[in-house]
Amino acid sequence: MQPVPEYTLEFFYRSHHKWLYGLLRRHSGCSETAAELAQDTFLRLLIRHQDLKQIDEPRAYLSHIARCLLANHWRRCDIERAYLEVLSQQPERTEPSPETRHAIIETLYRIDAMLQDLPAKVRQAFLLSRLEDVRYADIAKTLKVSERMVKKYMAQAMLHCLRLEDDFLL
Amino acid sequence: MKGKLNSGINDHSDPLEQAAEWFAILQDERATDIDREHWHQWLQASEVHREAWGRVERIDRQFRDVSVQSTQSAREILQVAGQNRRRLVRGLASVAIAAPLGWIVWRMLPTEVWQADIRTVVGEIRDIELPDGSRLWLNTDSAVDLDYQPAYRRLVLITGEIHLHTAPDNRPLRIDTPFGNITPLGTRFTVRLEDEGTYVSVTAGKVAVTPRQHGQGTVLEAGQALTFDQQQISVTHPATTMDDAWRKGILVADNLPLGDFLDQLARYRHGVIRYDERAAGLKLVGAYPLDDTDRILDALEESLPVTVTRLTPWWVRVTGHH
Repeated sequence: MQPVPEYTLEFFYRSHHKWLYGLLRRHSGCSETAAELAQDTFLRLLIRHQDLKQIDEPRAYLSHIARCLLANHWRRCDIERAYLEVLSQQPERTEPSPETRHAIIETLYRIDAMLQDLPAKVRQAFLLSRLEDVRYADIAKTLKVSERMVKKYMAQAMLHCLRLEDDFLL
Repeated sequence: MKGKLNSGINDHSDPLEQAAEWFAILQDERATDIDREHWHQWLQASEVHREAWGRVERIDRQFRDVSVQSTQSAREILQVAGQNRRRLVRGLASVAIAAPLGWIVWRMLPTEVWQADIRTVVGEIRDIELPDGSRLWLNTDSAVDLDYQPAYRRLVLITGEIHLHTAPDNRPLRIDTPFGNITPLGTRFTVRLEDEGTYVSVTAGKVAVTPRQHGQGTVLEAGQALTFDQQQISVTHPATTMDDAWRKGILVADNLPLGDFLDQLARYRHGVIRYDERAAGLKLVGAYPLDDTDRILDALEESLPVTVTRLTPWWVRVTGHH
């Protein structure tokens, strides 16, 4: 087998993948999840255009990324559970197909990720307006704030999403 | 007519801020025609404004889409999820990739028998849940026939590349390719149809590989990859972490020669990418989102000593500098 040059991702992968997989399996209790997240962790290294030479504690660094990914994973599970919970409370609804269900959960997850760092009222105002077409006047009443404030919340939430998108751009 | 725009929109602030404020104004049920007229003027005023507004619309669409699609109250779900959330470690940066959202919705047949042709066009990456709960990803320009019967499950790879996460099921599962077939033993793996053979890379579990005209197959373990044609199987080599990165809509280069990278990139675009020898040998490291391949080409000019020339949108030439 050819020697792999140090500081390539391949080298990182071979040196640490097994360890990372074990770590993730212990934390998640699921080998499938662990396999998936271990892959994602290495992928993330590339996405960040990280100079691998600068990572002097590879395992600390990898486990940090892996923990973030695991947190996202749990968040997705939370959404999925909530979705099923709400779904089960709907009387006589047609059951959405697995694809539709998957797509909805995925979208909800992304929306949730976008808004999660916003203050509760800002988040709520935005969701009421965008998902349920509630008028500003009624949002103001629900949240017990002025309509002027609702407008401010709306701009704040949108700007937050825009800035977040900037962070994601590679 | 600066300063005449609208209540409180500061013409000198960040265009994203301005766009967000216009959004808040226009969504207000009391927005007037005068507001809309002013917004229109703002939009006309600069390309930067139009670009910022385009992004606002794109974000808003994500929220609108879910409210249209979901028969349940999306907001209710998000609230329940928020209450349920105990494990979430706050303060960690969210590192989710904004993946392009693409899905198909199809009609489920009432029986176990389930047949479908699934395909993607050039540049499209699709993610589908199969009726047995398995998950299937199709890379760009790929086609698969699905054949689910009471006694077996079969996928026929017609062209392109797939990645599969199999779900447990009593029925056996087999992937057929022109060069032979692949039998997963509870697993995650990628299969790519190439001109000369079928490439298989295993992420988790094991798969059995059987060339069409070769009695004896071989078993491939997690972390391994190989290529086979109708007669023979190549030497097993390590799978790279990148074999299934396309599932996330990303093209990765881990110290990859530019020539190989451009060959990969060409799969996601219409038309031709040509490169000279000098460019072909340059090494590239990075991860590139596939939703805009033109942007990837532009980015190459910034990171490598090359010039990218477009004779037409379908004919791209990459030349190395002296």
